[in-house]
Amino acid sequence: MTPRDTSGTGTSAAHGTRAVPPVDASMSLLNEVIFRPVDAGYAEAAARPAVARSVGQRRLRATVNLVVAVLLGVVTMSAVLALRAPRPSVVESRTLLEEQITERSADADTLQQSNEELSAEIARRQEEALVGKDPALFDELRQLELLSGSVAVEGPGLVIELDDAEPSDPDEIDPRTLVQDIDLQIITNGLWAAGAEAIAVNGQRLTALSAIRRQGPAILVDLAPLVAPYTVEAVGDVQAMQTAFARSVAANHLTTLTANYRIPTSLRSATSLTLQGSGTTTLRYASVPDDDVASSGATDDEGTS
Amino acid sequence: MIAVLGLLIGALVGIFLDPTVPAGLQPYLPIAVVAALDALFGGLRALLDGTFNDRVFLVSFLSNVVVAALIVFLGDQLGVGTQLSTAVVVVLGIRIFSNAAAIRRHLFKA
Repeated sequence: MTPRDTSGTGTSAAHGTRAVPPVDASMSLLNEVIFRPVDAGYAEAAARPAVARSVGQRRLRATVNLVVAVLLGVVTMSAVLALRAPRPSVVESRTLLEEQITERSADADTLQQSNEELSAEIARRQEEALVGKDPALFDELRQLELLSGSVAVEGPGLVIELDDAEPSDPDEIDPRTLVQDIDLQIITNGLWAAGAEAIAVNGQRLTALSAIRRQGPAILVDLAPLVAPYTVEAVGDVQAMQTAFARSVAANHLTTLTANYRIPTSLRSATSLTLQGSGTTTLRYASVPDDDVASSGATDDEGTS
Repeated sequence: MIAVLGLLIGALVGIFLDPTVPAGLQPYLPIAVVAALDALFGGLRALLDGTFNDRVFLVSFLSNVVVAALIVFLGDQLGVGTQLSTAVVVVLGIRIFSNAAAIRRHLFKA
């Protein structure tokens, strides 16, 4: 019995004249697609008797064929290339944004530079004005500047270096294998806790007002974007810092980064580090309170809040 | 064979010149490429069957691409563009598959 013979009375159907519709009549479309996939034109052309043509006619047909074929090839290939290439408008806006970024970064660099020059100028003027008149005040100012991180410092210390992990697949970068703002925060906090007196990340000096944060994939210290590799320099008592840092959560964190995310890290001591100053920081809201109000007001506030 | 040669030359020229496709034609490109693939596989199978014919190959190639693009265009106008595209891709996909299977049987006898 054939699979199509479903009448139940196999013999009568086989011998009878009644035309039994095939059981898969409703599938004719699929059958057509699946069982005759090759263009019917090929079979017809092969079955057609060959027409005798003159050499000129044959040459003409061949030329037309060639031209059409070349055109089709060009069209298909350009379609493929167009599908593979990113959309032009996207590329355009991207280059525009890139240009803007470069431009603005250059602007920011220039401003930063003039800021530093002006700070140096101010320092020089202050020195001139104060040294002669009030050496004690000048010394105090010097001390305060040093403590607040607005001037450059020099001294022995630790250097911690981190870099983004080498991506195993360039197309798919696991963000966890990149150094993140939280990593730098933990390390710098660990260094402060270990007794660092001054810290700079990639040359950006950290002060009481500094922030390490993330903007998209970039890490910003204050407002300056950093690029890998990251170098954290801390000035302080090398021996004491090393011991304290090794015991801290930050050291653990470094080990975790290397072990789990293949982020290369290194910790070494340096006999002499020079950290740039952060320039003058401006306080917009905080001001020195009056002496008598200060003592009473401060305690009042603490009491109520 | 001239048709195949011409297609290859055209493809090379296309790679070399990298012409830009007008933005208006962009939506029809994927379907057109699938249709071209179908014609290519059909031609390859006919070649192995020994019935290959330059004219039939070119005409089927051209009509496949044009009809596929037309169907998508019509679908877009009627608001069923994606569904029609899916239908075209399914039908052409099945054809490509069975042609590829036939080619495989020819080449590897398996």
